[in-house]
Amino acid sequence: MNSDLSYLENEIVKCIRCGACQSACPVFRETGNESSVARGKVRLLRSALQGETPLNPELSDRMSLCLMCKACTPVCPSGVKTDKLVAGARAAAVATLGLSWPKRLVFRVALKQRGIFRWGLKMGSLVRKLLFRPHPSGSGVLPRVPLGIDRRRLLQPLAPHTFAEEYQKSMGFKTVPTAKPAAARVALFTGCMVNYLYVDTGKAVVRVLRRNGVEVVYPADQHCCGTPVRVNGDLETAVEISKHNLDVLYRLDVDFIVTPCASCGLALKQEYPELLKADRDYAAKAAAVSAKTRDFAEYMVTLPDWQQGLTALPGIITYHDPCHLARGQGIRQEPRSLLQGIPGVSVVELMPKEQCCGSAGSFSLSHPDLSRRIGGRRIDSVEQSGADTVVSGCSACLMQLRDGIIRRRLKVETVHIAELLDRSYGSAD
Amino acid sequence: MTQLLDELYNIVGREHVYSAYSDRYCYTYDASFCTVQSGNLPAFIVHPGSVEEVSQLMQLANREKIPVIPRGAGSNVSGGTIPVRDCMVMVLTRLNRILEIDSRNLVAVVEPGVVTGVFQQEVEKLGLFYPPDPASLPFSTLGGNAAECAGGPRGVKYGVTRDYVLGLQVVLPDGQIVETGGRTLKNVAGYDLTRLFVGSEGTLGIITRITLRLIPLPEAKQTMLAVYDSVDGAAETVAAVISAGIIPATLEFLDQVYIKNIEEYAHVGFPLDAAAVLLIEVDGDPAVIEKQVVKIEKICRQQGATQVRVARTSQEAGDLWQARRAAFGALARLKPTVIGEDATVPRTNLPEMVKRIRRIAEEFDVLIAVVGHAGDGNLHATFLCDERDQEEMARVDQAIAAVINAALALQGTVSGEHGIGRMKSGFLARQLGPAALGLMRNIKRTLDPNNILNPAVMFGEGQE
Repeated sequence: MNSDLSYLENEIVKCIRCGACQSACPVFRETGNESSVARGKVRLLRSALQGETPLNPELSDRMSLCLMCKACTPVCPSGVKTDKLVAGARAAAVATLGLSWPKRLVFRVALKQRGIFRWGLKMGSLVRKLLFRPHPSGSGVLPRVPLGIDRRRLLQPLAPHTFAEEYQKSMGFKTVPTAKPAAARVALFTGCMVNYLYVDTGKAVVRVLRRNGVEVVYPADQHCCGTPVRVNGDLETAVEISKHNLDVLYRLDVDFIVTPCASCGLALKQEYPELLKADRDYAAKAAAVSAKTRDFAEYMVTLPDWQQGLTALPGIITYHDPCHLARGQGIRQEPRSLLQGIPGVSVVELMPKEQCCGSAGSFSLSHPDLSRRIGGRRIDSVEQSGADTVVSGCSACLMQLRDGIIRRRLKVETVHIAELLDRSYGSAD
Repeated sequence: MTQLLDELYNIVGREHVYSAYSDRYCYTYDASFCTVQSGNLPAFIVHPGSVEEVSQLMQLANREKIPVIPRGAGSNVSGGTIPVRDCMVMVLTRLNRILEIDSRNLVAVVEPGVVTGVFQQEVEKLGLFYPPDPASLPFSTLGGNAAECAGGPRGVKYGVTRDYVLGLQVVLPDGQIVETGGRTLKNVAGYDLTRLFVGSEGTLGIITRITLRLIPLPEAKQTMLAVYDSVDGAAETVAAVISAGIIPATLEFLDQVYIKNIEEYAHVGFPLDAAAVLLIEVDGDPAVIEKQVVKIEKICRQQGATQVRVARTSQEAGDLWQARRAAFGALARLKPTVIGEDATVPRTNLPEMVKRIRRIAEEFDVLIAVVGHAGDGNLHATFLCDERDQEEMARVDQAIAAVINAALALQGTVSGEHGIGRMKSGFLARQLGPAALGLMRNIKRTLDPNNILNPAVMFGEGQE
């Protein structure tokens, strides 16, 4: 959309080259190469802006080495938002160099057309038996053939039925199963991971909210939140997707929009208003939807009696902070409060705090070795914590952690916080 | 070129050699304001994994007369790791093991790539203390700290990096590996080569192992903050505290430009008309520092402090330090380019130095904020400007020269802790005089006859 980097200039010149980002960047920790740390990327962009460095595939490649984890921003004395710069650079690269054909196929054709996207994923579930084999541990699947995905990479299998289908089949017409009058009415925004892969997380969210007297509506025409296309530089598609979702969400008569996905929450809260700030029609809609959006944990702790009815769960639990929840939305205490509200569990912290799991969505597919090395450090933390269960608020983080845990043959469960609460309420299937 | 690359691959392995444009471009800068001219890129970036590899790389470089720029985190602010055209940048961060912490002899042995802050955390777990605390310590390396002789706020009480280096392993420009010093506190065997290499800015050899002196970790510390309506009051406090026999662990000074900006940015409760703030920390035995705090508080008030805050809890101490830490961010938000000078004077000349800096700011119409380690006279005149404004930058250059000359006139030094690098090579002769400078050049020629190690720093030769 914008092949010109000049709108990024004010952010770029703030970098004083101190090098503080070296202590925070998970990619740099693995490579040790300056071009993969924030300072290097900002410097390269500055040089590109001055016309000294061409915007070519090599530069694009360096810009691909970013997890969008925002770890560099809090340590930066001048507050440079490198993740925004990288996203801008990727957008400029897409405008100049175009999308690679697999991305063009996925972003512009499949992801943009909900019908094709769903059909593709449905077909995916039919052909997955051909393409994937079950992991010997019984947890997840491994690719059978090279798919541009590392063949040792554990993936969550596509659910036989999407959340959208399951909801309509079994949850959509249920009445609120508590005597309380509806305390609030919320819309559920699931995100793709929950809709297509982690359907149980979505069901748990609905059950937990209903149990707390919250009326849940599920707008079935919701779409991918657009984060995968936005971070890969396809702003045109990102804008289109965000407008579609705003049209769907804006007109709903709900108090809040609740999502169990850290990245979807960040998109609805922060990215849409930013993407559409100059759009006459949509800027106000984006602001309104942003103001109503809550992460699942963030919303749960505001409910008056959520602790009532929680039954004891044994075990040592640790919580992994998703980057887009902790640094992205400042949500750190809320999920911990939920865990501490469950009787019988002991909660331990992962050290060091708030480290990226290395998944970063498509990064785990495009840079599998790097992703796994970064994830390995998180698994080290899990091992050292002594926890038997890792809880998180992001399905992509959980898939990445699961991959590392299986690889290391650890006896550690991974579970979304909504499912754990559901279990403690005793309402799981 | 390809043959050279093959040799490099053979020495360190292909995955530890970078020669693509983007990767080379990212080694053309450091944390200084200094940059190379367009096109003056290094030829290769090499990450050796052992002293043997470093030695082989130096033999190759010496044979082919390839300039070598040793580098740690590239966080120096003197232009100390700016490359010269077609050089080899040797990154030492793979050598990052803490080899030994010997708490009975209070000695540690480390590789140069160990991050200073990480090392400090490790020794503190054992009740030990490595005091040098450059602002870059969360990411700078011990090798870089030794090569630059880094300082920091704790210098007033605990000294600088030089005071903690007992011995080194160094690879000379011809590839020879030498050991200097040792692991004893007392050691007078021959010339003090350790001190020669510490602060040599990568011009004499490549540090591949460091033996460091440790001290016991102070049991407790107390932090206080005093606000003044005159610079003199703050400066007199510094002299009076030290005359009273108390050496605080840190004695940080902030001037009115900093105070105003910190207050506007972080709302820490400074009076906007304050002329100076002192942040004072004492450490040691809890009973002793309790008495020291009372004494210091009294001295502050006697010297005209309008406000003295003593932190009673670690949370309160954290809040006071928060104000100091906010300083840089506050300024960085004001102007895009921030240049930190470090001309240093004997501490009794500090009030005069601050006055001269104010005059220089007016004379050249530039924005200068002053922060400093007041206890040791190490001031940081901080120039706030926009590097895209050439006319302003010309005035800044003149003002920097004036500040350095003022420091020399007040019996000071052109650099207290940042180093000469490229930024200050032009001022070195003025401080040293021809004889001392000539001696230094002779030392460089003796150790590095082909002038391959970091050739553009210190003496200002071959800068492009």
